[in-house]
Amino acid sequence: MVQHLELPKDLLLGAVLIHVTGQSEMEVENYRGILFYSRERVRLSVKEGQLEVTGQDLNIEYYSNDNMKITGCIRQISYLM
Amino acid sequence: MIRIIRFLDGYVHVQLTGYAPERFLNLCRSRHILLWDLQPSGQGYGFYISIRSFRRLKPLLRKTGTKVHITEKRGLFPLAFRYRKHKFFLVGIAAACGILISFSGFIWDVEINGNSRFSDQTLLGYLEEQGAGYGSLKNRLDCEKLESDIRKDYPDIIWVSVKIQGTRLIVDVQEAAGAKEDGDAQTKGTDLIADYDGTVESIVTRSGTPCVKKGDMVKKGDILVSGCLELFDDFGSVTGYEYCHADADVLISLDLPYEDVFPAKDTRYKATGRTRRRIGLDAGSWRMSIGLRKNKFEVYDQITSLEQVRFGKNFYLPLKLEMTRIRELVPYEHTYSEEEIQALAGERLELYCRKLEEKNFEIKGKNVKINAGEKEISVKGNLEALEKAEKTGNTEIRTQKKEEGQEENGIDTGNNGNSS
Repeated sequence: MVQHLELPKDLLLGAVLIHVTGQSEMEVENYRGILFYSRERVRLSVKEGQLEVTGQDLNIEYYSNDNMKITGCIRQISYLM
Repeated sequence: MIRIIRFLDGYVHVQLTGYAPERFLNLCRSRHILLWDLQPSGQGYGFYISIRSFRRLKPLLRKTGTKVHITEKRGLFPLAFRYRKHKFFLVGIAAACGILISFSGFIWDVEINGNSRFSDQTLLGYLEEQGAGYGSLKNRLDCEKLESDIRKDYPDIIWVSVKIQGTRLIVDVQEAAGAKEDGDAQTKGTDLIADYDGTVESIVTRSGTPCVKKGDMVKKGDILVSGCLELFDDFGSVTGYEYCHADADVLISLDLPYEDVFPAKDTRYKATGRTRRRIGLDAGSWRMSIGLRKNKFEVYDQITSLEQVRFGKNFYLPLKLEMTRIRELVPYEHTYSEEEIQALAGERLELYCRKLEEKNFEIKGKNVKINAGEKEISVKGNLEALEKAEKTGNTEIRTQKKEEGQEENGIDTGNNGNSS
């Protein structure tokens, strides 16, 4: 139905929204919580499962109820079902 | 901006350790407690949090079995607390803030844009008279009244906007386009008059009656284009006169004598390499300087630059920073070489020609000779120039008697014609 009505999925389905700027910056919206955080790995809980970001010198610049910003050298973004 | 707000609010860097630090972070998120610069360190995490939010952490820490340890305090209040025993330091900061706040209530810079007919000095003088000059109180200024006063006292200014930005008064004006139309152009006119003796090289008339043609010899004071227009009837006789401002491009070719004398020796100055510097603060009648007080150099040159102290773009302060550099010089006599004489004579001739060009002369040719003596050098010759005539004079008003006579004659002839 969402597809037929051309409605934004992130609003209606609560899907995670990721903006990546180059290799050094990413913004995540619609996440549920932080599961694990180290310099090399950030694991987030999202509606579809888990989202894992791996890299070097990862830093959570800020995080709020709606979005978070991760900076550092991003190598991989993967979904863990 | 966010940094300034955080600084004023005060914030701390804390070290989080314990059993479930991730759970603590998620609880912070759900309770809208903002953390920033979150970094993993050792067994837990380090992050910044505002003092206000820090006070709300206690229940979360109990719930998650974690502990926080403040590693650093930042912001205005922690800073004031740290220096609470340095009373004069705090008094100094408070005094500086007080001075800045009190200074921000005055105008310390006036900017005028868009004026061409009225100089900055004229308008600044006027604003000073109206009590809106340098150092005037901002809350006593009524921008709208000032705008209407300017429009009233300067009718040629058709639009004006006065606004205050920071400690600056910005006045934007728009002047009426073109010169004011002369209402008496119909009864008065102006002639274009030759300013020098010469030959008319070309003449293009836009308004008025041309009195000379190309190739004519003219003398100083001759009318080139008259501002009087003769009105003819169908029979070719003059019925009246109309007056206008003569407007024409009249080029007069003439020979201008050139004579220049300058000394063959020159006193020049060489820098010894010794310099002194002075930095000063200038606040109207009060002046403070760091560096040298007395200048011991006998011959010197001095460069001083003044810059008004300001914060950002619009917050000007009534202080001027003065930077002075004094360089010691030694004078010595220098005799010009042949090449230098030629170059100098050429330079002076160019300068003279440029001055002539500013006075509407066009230089067509130069014919000069250099005579180098032991003491002085003289340059003599002629310059072939074209002058654009611009001198004007009032047009002679012709009486209408002649015109009436002509009309009467005309009627008579008509009657005669009918009877015969």
